[in-house]
Amino acid sequence: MFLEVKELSVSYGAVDALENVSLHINEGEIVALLGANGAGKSSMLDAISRIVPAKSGRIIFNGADITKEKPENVVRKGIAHCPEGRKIFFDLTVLENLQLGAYTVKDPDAVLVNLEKIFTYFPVLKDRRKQKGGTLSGGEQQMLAVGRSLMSSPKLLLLDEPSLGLAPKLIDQIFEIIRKINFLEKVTVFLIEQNANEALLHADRAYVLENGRISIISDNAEELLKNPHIIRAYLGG
Amino acid sequence: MDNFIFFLTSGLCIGAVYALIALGYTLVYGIIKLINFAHGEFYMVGAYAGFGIYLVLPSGTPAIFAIPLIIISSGIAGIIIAVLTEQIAYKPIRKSGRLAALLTAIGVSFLLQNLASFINKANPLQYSSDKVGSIGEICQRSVSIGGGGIKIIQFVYIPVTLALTLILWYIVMKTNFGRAMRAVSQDPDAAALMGINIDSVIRKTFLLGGLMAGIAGALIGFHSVIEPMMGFMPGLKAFIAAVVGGIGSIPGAVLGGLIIGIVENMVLFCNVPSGYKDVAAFVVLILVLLVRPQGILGRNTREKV
Repeated sequence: MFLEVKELSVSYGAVDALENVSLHINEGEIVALLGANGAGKSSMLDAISRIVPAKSGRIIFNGADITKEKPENVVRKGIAHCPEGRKIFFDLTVLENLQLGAYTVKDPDAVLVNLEKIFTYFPVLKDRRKQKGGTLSGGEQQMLAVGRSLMSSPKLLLLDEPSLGLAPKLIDQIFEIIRKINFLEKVTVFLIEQNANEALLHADRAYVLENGRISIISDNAEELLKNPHIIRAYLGG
Repeated sequence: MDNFIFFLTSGLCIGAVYALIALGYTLVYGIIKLINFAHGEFYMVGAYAGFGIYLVLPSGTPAIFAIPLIIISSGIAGIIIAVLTEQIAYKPIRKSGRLAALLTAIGVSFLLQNLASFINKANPLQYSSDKVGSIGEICQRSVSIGGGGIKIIQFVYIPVTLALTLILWYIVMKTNFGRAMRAVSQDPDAAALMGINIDSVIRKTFLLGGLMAGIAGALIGFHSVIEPMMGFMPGLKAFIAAVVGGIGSIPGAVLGGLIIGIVENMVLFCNVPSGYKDVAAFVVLILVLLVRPQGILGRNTREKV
């Protein structure tokens, strides 16, 4: 198994965000984690990238236990996290944002190769590379955030709500690129979404998180689109 | 009007030293939003360390060799004290809020002042100027400019500050580490996701601030008395300089330092009794805060929650 989360619990003070959650991701997959606002989706990604400590449980990536690893070492091991709200550096240029994504890459030639690759996926970033990150539109910022995560040549990409605040046409575009990256660059993708419809269309498998626990596991994401509970809760049926 | 050039030159020289200290305030504030009130004490420690090196140097050491050596030693002492302070006092309470950090900084300031008094018995030290050609004598030599005497050592201040500012500017704007600094300054969580070691960036930021404060201490020590409280007033004025220039801004710190240096000398030029000199910096601070609260080169960013 590529990534294995075993009985993970995360809490903020007295509030439990995740309780004994287990899930796994196989190499090469796109896996979606669905759930309502506050279900604990972001906590899951934050725990994997180690910016939030796990209360109990274990996280195993590529055979290594990363539960107690420092965030920078998680990046070095090949996990990139594209966070909620994009969190791009507004005062830095687009190019500097991308360079920061490759902070753990010590070989300058490798950084240039990655940069060219990102520019082929997101040509708009090349045009705007000298602009400050804060001057980009929402869609461009999302592209920058995804591009920045890819600069470290990750094996696993954690995507937190890539569709948030974007027009439907842009959402399709972003998901198309994510699929392309998954296929061509062999990057495994673990994404969380409120937009269940879009996520299930593109994912191989899915988990549904409710009140900090996994409520549904599906090995066929498209099948979930027909699940009455999912339709009622997440697809506005 | 004769004295104008003298006071202007004098103001620029001392302003350059304020700028050097202010850069440390502004860097540390930029990274962890802490007003490091112990920063003036890093400057004091630098002055003492430089004097200590002077005492162990063979008495015949030529000044051209001794002066750079003292400056470098003071810089290293500044680095050591700044990094130690960060590791021992600030790092453990980093998540305890800004007020706790601020109070700790004031505590460290008192601690270092009293430690210096304890070790040196509060005796003011001064580079001996008995012998012709000794460091003290050379540093006390002055040239007449615009109707007043300016010590020749003061002419070292501006090039030293200029060189260090340019190096700092290059580090912050052009290197990987500088990009990481700016990233941590804007959003530490996002910076951590990039694989940036936040602790290391903070430590190196203190290192840079300590280096510049230590060097400033050496420069002033050359022609002034070295005593435990010497960091208080220059530290305060440099803090004001950083705020006047726009805290967090590197060019702002330099501009603020020069403004404070010049204004307090202009007060003397206008025949205000010299006892009021120190008030000038505060008046500038109040005026700037009234007109431009974010400082001259500071950006008007509201706190994001």
